[in-house]
Order: sequence, then structure tokens, then C-alpha cells
Amino acid sequence: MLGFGDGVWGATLTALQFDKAFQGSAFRVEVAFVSPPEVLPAERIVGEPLTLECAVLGFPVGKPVEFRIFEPFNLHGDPIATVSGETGEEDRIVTVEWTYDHAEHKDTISSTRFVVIAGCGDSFNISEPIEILERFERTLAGAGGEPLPETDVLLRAPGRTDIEARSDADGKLELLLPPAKYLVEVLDEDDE
Amino acid sequence: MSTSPKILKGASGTVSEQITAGVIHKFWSRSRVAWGKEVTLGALISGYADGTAVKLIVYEDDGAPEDDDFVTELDGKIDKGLATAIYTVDFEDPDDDEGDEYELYFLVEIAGEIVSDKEQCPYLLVDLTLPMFSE
Repeated sequence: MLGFGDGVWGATLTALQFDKAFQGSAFRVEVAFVSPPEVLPAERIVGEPLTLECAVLGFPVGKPVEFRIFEPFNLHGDPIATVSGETGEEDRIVTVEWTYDHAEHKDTISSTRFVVIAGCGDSFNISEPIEILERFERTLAGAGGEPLPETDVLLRAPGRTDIEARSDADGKLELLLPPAKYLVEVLDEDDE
Repeated sequence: MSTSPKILKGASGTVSEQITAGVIHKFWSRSRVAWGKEVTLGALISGYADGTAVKLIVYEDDGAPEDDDFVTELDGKIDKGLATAIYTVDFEDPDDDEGDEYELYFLVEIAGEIVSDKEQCPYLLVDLTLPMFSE
């Protein structure tokens, strides 16, 4: 589909008709296109708002644009969320906001790795896979309640690869991890 | 109809090396499956109306496309850009020298024309026998 200003959309013109209509005028031709959606910021956290955006060309102002979020292996199923926006007057970037609620979805998903499909009319595109992580903040303490600084631990969760971590000088662990219930196992020096 | 053209507001630029119409993405519902089990395959397709008929043509990879074995042809329709089909893996590989597993991929055909590449498709690994685990 070609768009020639706000007045003519989806027109099919011969070269001669095109010349007659637009000779001497300044114009821009847009091919209907939706760019691969981007998900910002780069550090995506459970419960914190994310910005989904894509460029939408070749459609009139006010056209609905839908962002659907799926698990990458479940594009044939229902999206875990759908967020709607519309093409704007000022530019061709369509932006919407979405916040991932892990409590709502945790029983029906296999991971927090997602893709976003953006669509306008019959034009679609898909994002690179994104992963949404959770803040994991704990203070390691010994049997007497004293902090355990500079201590190596293994974080274990069912179905996941063990993650190695080390507490800071105050015994704190501050990490971004895939949402799960983690068992923190303190490593003896002999384990290393 | 008389129209006074005007410059559209906003940024202008060049769209390069992007698919504006055609198959954007292909997927299997899993990366590995046992013989006899069900799997869903599908494609995200841009530039075609909802309801457009699509054929998903499955092949077994034997290296060069001319050597690949036809597996099956599945019908689907585009719905919000996605065309999907379900396949129960019951293909018997005519080649008997490829071990206990093989790899499937699929092409997309619309209105009699193939509109996707082999390279665009992830492979589905099929196990002919269940994997053995030691105790």
C-alpha cells in the first residue's frame, strides 16, 4: 500500500496518473511497514514498566497498532498480554507501556523469556526475544545471625541451572535473576 | 478524486534489508520431539489479509534442498499475521543411514508460490527412539 499525504491511502496509480497528480509537488511515499518492536529499557524487571515501541510507516494517523506478548514457543496460543496504541501525527514511532505481572502469569508460563509481535493492518513484525528478571536481594547470615561477607553461594531452583554468586562486604546478595524460588547454598571452601 | 499532496510530518528514512511483506518468522512449538508426538508449527506473515490460505510444507533435511525428503503438507490460514498447523510426527525416513534422529524444517506457500527460505526456518529434531539415560 502506498500513502500520498493524508488524503490518498491504499491507492494504486499508473506511472502516468502518478506524474499528473504529483508533478512538481513535494511528497513522500511510504511502504506499509512495521519495524521489529523494541522493548526498553535493556534491563527489564518484573513489576517495573516497560516501553514497547516500533516504527509504523504507510498508514494514516490514528490507525490502531497492537503489541502482543508471547512465549517464543507458544505463538500459536493466546498472548500473555496485548497492549494497543495508534499511529501518531508527529512521527511514525508508536509507543506503549506494559508492566509484567509475574504473579498473574507464573502458573501458565514456562519462563519469563518473551517476544513481542507488533501489528498494524496486515503488517506485522516481531522483536528479538527478551527476558524479564526479578530483583533478588538477601543478606547472608550465619547461625548466630552475623552477616557472612565475601561468601560464595550457589542459588538453586527447580529446572534451572545453578547460579554462582558471592556476597559483598556486608553479606548482601543483590542480583537480577529469572523469577523462581531459590535455595541459597553456602559453599565451603572445600567445594570450590 | 482530487487531492492536494502535502509532506507528511515526522521522520523520513530508508527501509533497508527488511522484509516488508512475506514471512517474517517461523517457529516450532518445541525444538525436539519424539516420533508419534504432536507438534505445532507456524509462521508470522506480513502483508497478507486475515483468512489468506497458507500451506506449510514440511521437509526432512538431508543437506542440499534437492536431497531433502518431502514429509507432509499442512493447511492453515492467516489470523492476525500468524498461520499455524499441527503435525503428528509419523514420517518414516526413506534413508536408512541417518541414525536415530532427523531434522525437519518447513516452507510457506501462498497462492501456489513459495514465500520463505529453508534458511529462515529453525529445525525440529525428531527422536525415532526415546533417549536412554543411565541410572
